[in-house]
Amino acid sequence: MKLLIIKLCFVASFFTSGCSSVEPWERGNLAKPEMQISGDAVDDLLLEQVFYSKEAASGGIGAAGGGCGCN
Amino acid sequence: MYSYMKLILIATLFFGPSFFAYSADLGETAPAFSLKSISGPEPVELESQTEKILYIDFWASWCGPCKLSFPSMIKLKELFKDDPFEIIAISVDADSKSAKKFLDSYKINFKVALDSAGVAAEKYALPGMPSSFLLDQDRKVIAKHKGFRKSDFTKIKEEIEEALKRTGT
Repeated sequence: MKLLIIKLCFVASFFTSGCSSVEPWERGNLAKPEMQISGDAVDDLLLEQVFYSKEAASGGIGAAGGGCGCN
Repeated sequence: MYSYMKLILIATLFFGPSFFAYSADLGETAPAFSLKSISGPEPVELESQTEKILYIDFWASWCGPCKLSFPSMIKLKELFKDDPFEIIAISVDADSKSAKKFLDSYKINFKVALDSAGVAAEKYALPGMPSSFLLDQDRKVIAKHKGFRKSDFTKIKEEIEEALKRTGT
């Protein structure tokens, strides 16, 4: 019986999968300026500058490409 | 045995949808599409582009590197204007207004189609934006590119030249 339930769950999982990713071509809304976590780009640059100086490293914040999954 | 089944079950829940994905991998025949044109009245169909080397570029107005790729594509079309070579630029913008506004900045000399629903984009399983595919005369994918950098121009140009050489033109 247990095995049957597991088997049914296995088959059902094909149709009930809840995890999905946003595909590169669906990121139009995410790429909008208003979708940025913080509102002020200049403020962000200043904070990053301070962070890089303190950490003695660069490139640690965010990712290149503006949310389009390109670079 | 149960732990093995559980592992498969969890893996399926996470990766299930990807099992059904389309693709346009190297050497495979590119999936067909028929899309509304932005650049002209006729629909843009892959099937109608026979006996040509095709460069298919997926772009969007919100994609930064796409602004770099357009001048290069215009230059490529100009370079190979006397050859059996065609460029199809497919916009994945949700609304055509954004795409048209983007196009206003360029003097387009190739076909531009609109894929608002992302049907063709899904068939080609785009790895990023922009993504481009070079097809030979038999519609086989001979090269594909993820993203666009200025240095990609020379590489793409060489790939087109190589493809044209193989066709004997």
